Amino acid sequence: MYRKNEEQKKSKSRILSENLQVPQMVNRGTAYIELSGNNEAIIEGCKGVLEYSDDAIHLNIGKNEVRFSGTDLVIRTYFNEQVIIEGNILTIDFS
Amino acid sequence: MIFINIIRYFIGFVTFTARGGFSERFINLCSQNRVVLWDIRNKGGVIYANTSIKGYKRIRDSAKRSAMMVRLHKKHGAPFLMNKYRSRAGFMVGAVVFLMIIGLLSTRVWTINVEGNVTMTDKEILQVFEELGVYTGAKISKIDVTSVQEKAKIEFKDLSWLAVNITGSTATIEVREGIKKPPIEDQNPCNIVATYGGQIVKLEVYEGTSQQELGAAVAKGDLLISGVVENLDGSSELRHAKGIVIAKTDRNLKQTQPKQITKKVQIDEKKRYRLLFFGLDIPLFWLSDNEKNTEYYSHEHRLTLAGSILPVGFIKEGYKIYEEKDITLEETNCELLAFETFSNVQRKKFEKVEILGETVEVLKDNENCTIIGTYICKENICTKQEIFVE
Repeated sequence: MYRKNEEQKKSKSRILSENLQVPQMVNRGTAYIELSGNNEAIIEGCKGVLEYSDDAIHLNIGKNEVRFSGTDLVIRTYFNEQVIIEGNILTIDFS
Repeated sequence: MIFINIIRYFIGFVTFTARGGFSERFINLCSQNRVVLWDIRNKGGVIYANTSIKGYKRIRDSAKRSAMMVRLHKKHGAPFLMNKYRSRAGFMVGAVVFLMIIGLLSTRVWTINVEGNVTMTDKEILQVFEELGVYTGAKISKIDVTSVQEKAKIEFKDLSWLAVNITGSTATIEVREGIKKPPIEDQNPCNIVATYGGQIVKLEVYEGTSQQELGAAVAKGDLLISGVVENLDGSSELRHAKGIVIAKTDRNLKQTQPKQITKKVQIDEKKRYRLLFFGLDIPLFWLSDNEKNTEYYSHEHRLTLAGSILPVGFIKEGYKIYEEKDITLEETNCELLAFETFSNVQRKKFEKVEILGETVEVLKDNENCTIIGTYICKENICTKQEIFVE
């Protein structure tokens, strides 16, 4: 019963955002990733760092995980579920 | 970004290293414990990161739970700098006082520039503005620019436009002088008579009746152009005679220079300095003027910085004390002095006269040296003589 209400709520919010043509980021629980070329990535809604090395940064963004691969990767800032990654980003993988 | 870095510098932050243990868990725990980390780098398994001073104090728990060994690598920022020089309190107090003084003085006018004036001097303009409240050292917030401009326009009737702009601590007064109205020509009936005697070489009559001919010899006071004009019907009317009459004239100039002269010789000088500071005039020493035969002088010097005149400087003023002495000039010196005076007088007297030829004679005796000049000139000999009508 509880699960059905949750699914109903999610679908209602999705229907509402589609009809009002509001971006998905307004919905709760959705991570927001902004890329500036391949040098900077701003992630909002990051739940935690899963892996951090010079050539790979693996983040937990709630329902999914995202992996940034490249060279000279640096976490410029990490605070309050907001992460800024800088460096030479070569690939972004979602899982 | 630069702004954030400046704030971080003033608040103070540290760079630390964390090694061993679980680096990702450590970063997550820091985030959960609301410790802000930035510039996080992983170099060979060692985490380098920056955090605030308060954040570093709270990092121990996260490090312990993630089995990381945290070490302080470098300190940055103003708090550490101030702590380093805490025994030099005077330096810090001095720096603060300096900033306060600069802040206070920045609310005052430092320099006043006058632009656009041609015939009017800067001093005349600045004097009026000083009375209106715009002077070096005046408080900028108390200057009502609109009101000052309106009052200044009333004072300066010859100006066509005036503006006052205050940028930073510099006040710029821009003026544009008006074109003066030409004087209304007198239209009263008059004749034109000769100021000097001579032979007429050019005669142009614009208004009136010519009474002379080209080449005629006239004496001083002779009628050249008459203001009485006869009409074709026999009647006559009075006009304002106008014309140009150029004549060759004989002129003389005599200048006598006595050998015995009374000359002022400086015997002493008293001076003092006055300090100028943002409109304040502070005399540094006492100066009295009880002496006779003194000549007062005053020179203002202002400090400059990168081409800008600062409101700080000094005035050197003083009195030169003279004594009158009777001196007998040597013959050569007497002659030189006589020529100098003669040249000055000649320049002024014959300013609007063309000299065609001149003869200069020097007469010397025991007491004087006299220079006599004889000239043949070409000049306008017209002068107006009003016709009185009853």
